[in-house]
Amino acid sequence: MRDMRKVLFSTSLYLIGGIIGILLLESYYQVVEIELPYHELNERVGKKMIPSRRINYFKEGFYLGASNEYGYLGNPYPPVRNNDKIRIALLGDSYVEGLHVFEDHHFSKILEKMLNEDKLIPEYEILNFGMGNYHYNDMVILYKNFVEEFNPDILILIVSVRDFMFRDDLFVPSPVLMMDNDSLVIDYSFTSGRTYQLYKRLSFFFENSCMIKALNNAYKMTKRAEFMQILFDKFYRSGQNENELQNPTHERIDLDIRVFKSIDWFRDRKVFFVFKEGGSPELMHELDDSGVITFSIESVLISEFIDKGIHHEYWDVTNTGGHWNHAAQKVVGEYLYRLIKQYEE
Amino acid sequence: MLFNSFIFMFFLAFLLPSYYLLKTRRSRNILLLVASYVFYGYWDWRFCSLLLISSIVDFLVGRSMYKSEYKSRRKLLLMVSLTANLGILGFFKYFNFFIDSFEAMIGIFNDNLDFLHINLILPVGISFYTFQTLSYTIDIYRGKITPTDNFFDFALFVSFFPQLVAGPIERAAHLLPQISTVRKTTREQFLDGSILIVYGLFKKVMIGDTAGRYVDHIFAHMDLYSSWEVVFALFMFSIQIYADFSGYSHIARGTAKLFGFEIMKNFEQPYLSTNITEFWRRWHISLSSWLKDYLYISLGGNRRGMNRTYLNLMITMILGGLWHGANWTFVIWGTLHGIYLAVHKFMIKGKKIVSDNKPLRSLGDILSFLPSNIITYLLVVITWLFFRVKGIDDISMFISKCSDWTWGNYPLRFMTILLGFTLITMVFDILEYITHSHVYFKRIKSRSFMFGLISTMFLSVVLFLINSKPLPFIYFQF
Repeated sequence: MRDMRKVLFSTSLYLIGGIIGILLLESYYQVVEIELPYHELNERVGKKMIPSRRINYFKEGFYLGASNEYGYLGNPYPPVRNNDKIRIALLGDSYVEGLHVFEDHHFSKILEKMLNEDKLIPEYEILNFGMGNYHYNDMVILYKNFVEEFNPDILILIVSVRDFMFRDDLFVPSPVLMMDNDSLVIDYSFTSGRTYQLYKRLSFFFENSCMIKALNNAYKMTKRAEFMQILFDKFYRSGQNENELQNPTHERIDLDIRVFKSIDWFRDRKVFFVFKEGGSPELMHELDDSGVITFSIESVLISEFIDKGIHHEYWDVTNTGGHWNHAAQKVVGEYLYRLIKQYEE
Repeated sequence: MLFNSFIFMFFLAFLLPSYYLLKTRRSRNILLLVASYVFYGYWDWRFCSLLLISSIVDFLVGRSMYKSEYKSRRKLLLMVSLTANLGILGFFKYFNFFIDSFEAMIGIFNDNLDFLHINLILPVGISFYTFQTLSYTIDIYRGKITPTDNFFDFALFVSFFPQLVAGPIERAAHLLPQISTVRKTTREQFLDGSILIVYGLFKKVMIGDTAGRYVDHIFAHMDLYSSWEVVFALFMFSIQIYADFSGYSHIARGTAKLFGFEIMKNFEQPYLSTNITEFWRRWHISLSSWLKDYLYISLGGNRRGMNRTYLNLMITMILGGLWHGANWTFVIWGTLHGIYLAVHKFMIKGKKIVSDNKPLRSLGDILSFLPSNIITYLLVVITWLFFRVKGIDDISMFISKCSDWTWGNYPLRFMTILLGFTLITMVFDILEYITHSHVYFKRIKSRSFMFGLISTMFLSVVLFLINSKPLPFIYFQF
């Protein structure tokens, strides 16, 4: 009995030590900004940025900034418009989110600066709704349930061919576009799933604790091929390293009916689909015919970088491939500027 | 093999039980020797040949030197050792540097020496084991130690994996007797070793690497950042290099303890120094004491008058700078430290140096400690600029950036981050300073509570290692 008590006492002390350790570490993480959480799992749009959050992100590049009070990146333009300025909303994945360069070096800021240059009162507002791991499905739902409130004049969706492939195996629980007879609807059944329910119960920790974010990221990492590489180093050879510079897919894919139906939701705006890579002419024609304007930035990036023997996704600091580097951000910003000016005329 | 990798954890998990299962000194030493070569060869197996050459040369030289009765022969043998070791080091580390410098000198004649450049890979830790093996032959020459008759023991002394690639640079008089005797890892040693490994990993990964990410990005593209951000990066580097190197040294000492070895301390809270001389007694202790014993004293030390003392200090520190890397920036770094030391020597001329680790008992003690401590730290931070930059161009970029006097978008956040890193580094140092120990966790009365704390530190390291690529130790490149 005495031994039992002793074991219980020691275990309690161990746990107390552990809890105090975790609290101290959490404070340290918060102050020095390691693994700051800035996403929430929203029941209307899935993964979304939490408003007014510090963001500090390192991968191939480095970002230190914050989401604005409305829950997107860039200057905080409110949903209600009380001016005649032209409002441009950017939608896309991590390339648009741009958490690998400082905001001032991101193409959205370069574009905004160029558009408002030499103007006493700025005429354009750029709202960056980019979000890592977003596909076309997520962009449409974000537009419908969030971006539309901001009433943008122009929508620019920066996409790749892969974004149009609808997935069944969603890593992050999210709403999905579905056909109900002949009309397009959003299915929110993910909210009744176990993952979302668990998230709901522990949302305070998921949205505020750096340690929980680190734990969650590590858990996600264990499901990826990279994990085996981290664990076994030279003893493990995977087929493809995520950070290697990849060639874009130019494969021809059949567009899902949901893509055409969703385009109807954008009808009263000017919409540009800018392909960051790939985008076969047939696919682009199909989209053009359905009422959007398509472009591919790939040829510009190839002539500006690849043809000169450099890669626009190479990061010298970390010696890895990744998203558009600083030089590419400038080229993309200038390209979008020309595009907008061309259509204004 | 990096200490901060899972593969090293597997390596240790396999090696330790095998080591404990073996009972004889000889079999244990051979296992450690093989493990050390595997550890080193994991980077590039070809480098093992250099290690072997150094071991064979110095083993033979040591024995012949000891047997020889003639001073001239002993001197000749010492020269053989020096030439072989420094020759290999010089070739791999300094060949291209000297060609570059020579090319710049004769540049006015438009001569091109590109054809002389060789694409050499710098063997990891070559400067460390070269100095370690040199101390063996020099000590035999000076009659301080007797050589070992067992080649395997000597080869293990040169290649002992915990301290092979980044020190501490051990002396034969300290490490060889431990190799030559039967060792038994005590429970205390095992506990101390485990704590030191976790503590070192935490310092390296959670302080050094996390601080280093800012440093690497900002220093790589200084043109993109504000004045305050580049200054921030310099202060962060002072934290990164300390956490990185002292973290490594803790892991090295901890790992050695698990095998029953005691290796020397390499750091004693250097940023709590109140003058530059004290800083060098606390920073990279094994290198500064090596330079003092084998270079400064050989040059005459302080026995030939003040002017010669200043000159000896300068020569020692410049060569010490060059030891770190084949770049003029390291020469500037060494020169600056030489000047600091010479000035300090001049200032304290005739005065008795107050002993280190002064107790800070009253507010008055702290108030008199702080100004000199802050000044010393700032002087050291200035020198870190030359240590971190890749070339002279970076220095002018840094200076021109600073003269812009721009703050960037988030000055307060950068300030908070810097304060956070400074605070945790200071807390660790103050705890070491007060307890005179690197394993101060043991002062906690309840072992269970202590294990709870240590476990969370280890957990955070594991999570970080899963989430991001491990960064090599800064001193591996030397």
